[in-house]
Amino acid sequence: MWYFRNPLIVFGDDALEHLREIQGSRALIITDENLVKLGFVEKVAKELKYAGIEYRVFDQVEPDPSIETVKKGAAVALEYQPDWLIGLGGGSAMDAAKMIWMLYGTPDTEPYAITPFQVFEARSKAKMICIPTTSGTGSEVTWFMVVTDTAEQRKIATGTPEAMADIAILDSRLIKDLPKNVTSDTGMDVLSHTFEGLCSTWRGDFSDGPALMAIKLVFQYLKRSYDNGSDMEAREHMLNASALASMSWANAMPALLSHNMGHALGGFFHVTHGKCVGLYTPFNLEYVAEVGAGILGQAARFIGLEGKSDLELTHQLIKKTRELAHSIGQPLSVKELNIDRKAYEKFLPQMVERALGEASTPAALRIPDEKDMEKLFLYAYDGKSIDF
Amino acid sequence: MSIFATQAWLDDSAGLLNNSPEYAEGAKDYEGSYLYIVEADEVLSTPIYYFVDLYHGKCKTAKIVSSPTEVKAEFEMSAAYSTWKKILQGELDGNKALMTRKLKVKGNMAKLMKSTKPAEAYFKALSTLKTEFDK
Repeated sequence: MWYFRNPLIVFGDDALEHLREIQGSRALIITDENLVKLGFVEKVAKELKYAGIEYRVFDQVEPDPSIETVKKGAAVALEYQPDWLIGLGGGSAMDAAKMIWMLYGTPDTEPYAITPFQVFEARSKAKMICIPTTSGTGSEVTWFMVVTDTAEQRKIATGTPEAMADIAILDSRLIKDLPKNVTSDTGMDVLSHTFEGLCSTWRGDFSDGPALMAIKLVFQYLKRSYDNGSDMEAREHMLNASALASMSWANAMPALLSHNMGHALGGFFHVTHGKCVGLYTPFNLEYVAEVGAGILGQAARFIGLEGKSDLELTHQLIKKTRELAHSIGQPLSVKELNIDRKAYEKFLPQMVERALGEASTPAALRIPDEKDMEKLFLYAYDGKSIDF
Repeated sequence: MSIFATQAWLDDSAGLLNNSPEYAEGAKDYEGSYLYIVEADEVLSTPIYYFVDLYHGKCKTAKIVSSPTEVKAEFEMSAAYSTWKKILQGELDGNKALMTRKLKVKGNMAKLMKSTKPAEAYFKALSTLKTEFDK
């Protein structure tokens, strides 16, 4: 027995207007200061006014939101008592919104205690809408949340099925002006997500479908949207790809381990999430190439690659992944991030422990031991293809 | 080989843990006690309870108890007999069992989620445990 979970997804270039249809009285919009200045909150507020819903804004979410920030947001929610929470922004805003929602519904819990193994009361108080402004983390369609314990320099990746948003609104007008570097980083996050879902022992028919479609869309439209941000066809398809990719891994476990490694790197060196996970992805794919050739070969064929065997196709797909990353200005090794090798090696034991310690590790197609995980980190530092 | 959820099986489990240098290292800072409940189902007529106390890389206690109130445990793990059997025979992933709530856990969730290293060491040490099922 397993599940395939996702919210109601409203998509298209007028998707924001769906807010006019929601029933309720008060909404708390959770976002960052930048999006207030850029007028995004005003766009959402305009639609809420149509629905007769009053609103308040919590705009203190920072990149890689901290436990302290989500607790502040929860305090605002407890005081304001909204019946809708709206996470508006990138992954940071949406993850923070979902965590705030959980803390609002169950005030005596804490972020570390939010697990899929218990019932939380969030929906008894409010429902959740997620509106992404990047393409993206796909947080709008998952029940996972990542917040940062600043005291321990650690990212906490957690989740509970109750944290799945009720509605995800994919309005491509909101990502039209995404800067080039953000388009690139978030695009790599999407590509990494597709492989996370495909390279999981928990994958199946329901999770494979969205992943395959997402891979196709990324290879068709990411470079286009990077080269020309006004290409609205490309923007819309990338926004859809973002949701599809996350629908896949969120229902299959993110088991390629690129996110495990990326979280560990990001926790110590503060590199943007998409850059971290995208960087490790080709190395992780090489590590599972033999055991994962069946599904990866399928993915390669689906995007039009030709080859004599699944393994040959898998290696072509990995090569194409590196080519795409390079074409949109992504690093192909950790050293290109100007991270000092000595500093990297100093944190290596902790990075290995954290990468292996995430809940998704047991679902990996090929589970590295500590020695292999260390080698994965070091090979990725040098940009050396995996040969073990 | 010993029969699941008997004192002999628990003695074998404790033996594996206490003779594992990897467990001793991986769980050297860990303290935790568990009440396991094997719920009655279509093949088991009355529930079985057992208690495991882990302390700094050793299994201090592993014993059958006659009722859940006999011990005070930090965590409670419960599942039907058939679910435990599937998990131990590798037919059902333990994490999946937890996420579908076929295996239920109660206790300090924050501590549980921070204890992945000792938990992995625990399951690795017990991976060679040979279990027989008499039902």
